[in-house]
Amino acid sequence: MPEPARPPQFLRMVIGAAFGLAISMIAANSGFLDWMRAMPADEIASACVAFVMLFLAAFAFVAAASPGVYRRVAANYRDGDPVDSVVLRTMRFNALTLALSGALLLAPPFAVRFGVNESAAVAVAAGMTLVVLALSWINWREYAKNDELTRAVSAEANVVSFTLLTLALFGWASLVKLGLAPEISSWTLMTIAVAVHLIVQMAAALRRGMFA
Amino acid sequence: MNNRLRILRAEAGWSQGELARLLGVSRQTINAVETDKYDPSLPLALRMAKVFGVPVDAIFLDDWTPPERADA
Repeated sequence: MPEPARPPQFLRMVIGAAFGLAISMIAANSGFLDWMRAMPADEIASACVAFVMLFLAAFAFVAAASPGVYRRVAANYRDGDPVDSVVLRTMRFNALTLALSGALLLAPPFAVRFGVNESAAVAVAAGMTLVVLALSWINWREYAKNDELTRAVSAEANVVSFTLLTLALFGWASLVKLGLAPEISSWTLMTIAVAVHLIVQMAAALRRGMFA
Repeated sequence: MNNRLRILRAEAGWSQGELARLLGVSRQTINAVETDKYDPSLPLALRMAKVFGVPVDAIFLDDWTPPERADA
């Protein structure tokens, strides 16, 4: 069956711009931005990283919706080329892990903003532990099924981000010891680690042409 | 490493997806090898050679020459 024709690029740009404007207007009028402005800088930073993860997850979910949609998103696919169902399933799992990771990153600061008491905080921590366990299980299952390119990219990204973070942490900790830099919160440190890992993972995947 | 994978695949009339399925890897892996962004493992290179019925060095091109030995 022939693919339905795509709208012209200009029209797609206008639709995208209108959608972005609508979202920003809704956010501005809902008081959400004021609410976020009251948050400390490290929580705003982690919320931004979390929203990027949720956006990427939504994009991946949409891309994996059907072979037709996937062919449009991925380069090097011609109309009618078969798309392996495993590819779509893997992409959905990746989207799920990204979405859960984003939610995990949002949970503690948002729980604090909502003013949880001690027992509610324990419940949030328990819920997060369950999500972390589920995520680890999904990641392990997927890693075992991945082919050699995906494993190579994953290993490369982990080595690079570990090295970068260790060096940066060493530098920062040395400056703090010498009284030349302020202490940073554990939440800031964790946000930086997640952001660096996300950026390095995407760079490694791009470098190996995995989005092609 | 330069390679002739794209040429051999085109001669066989396979898409990247079809070759990937034959070799048990993802289409991205085939694309990454063809565009010189990834050198496959030795087992995968050997499987490629078997699929096309050619030696490995007919797919992967290397202009390295060993240095001359002093005792030769």
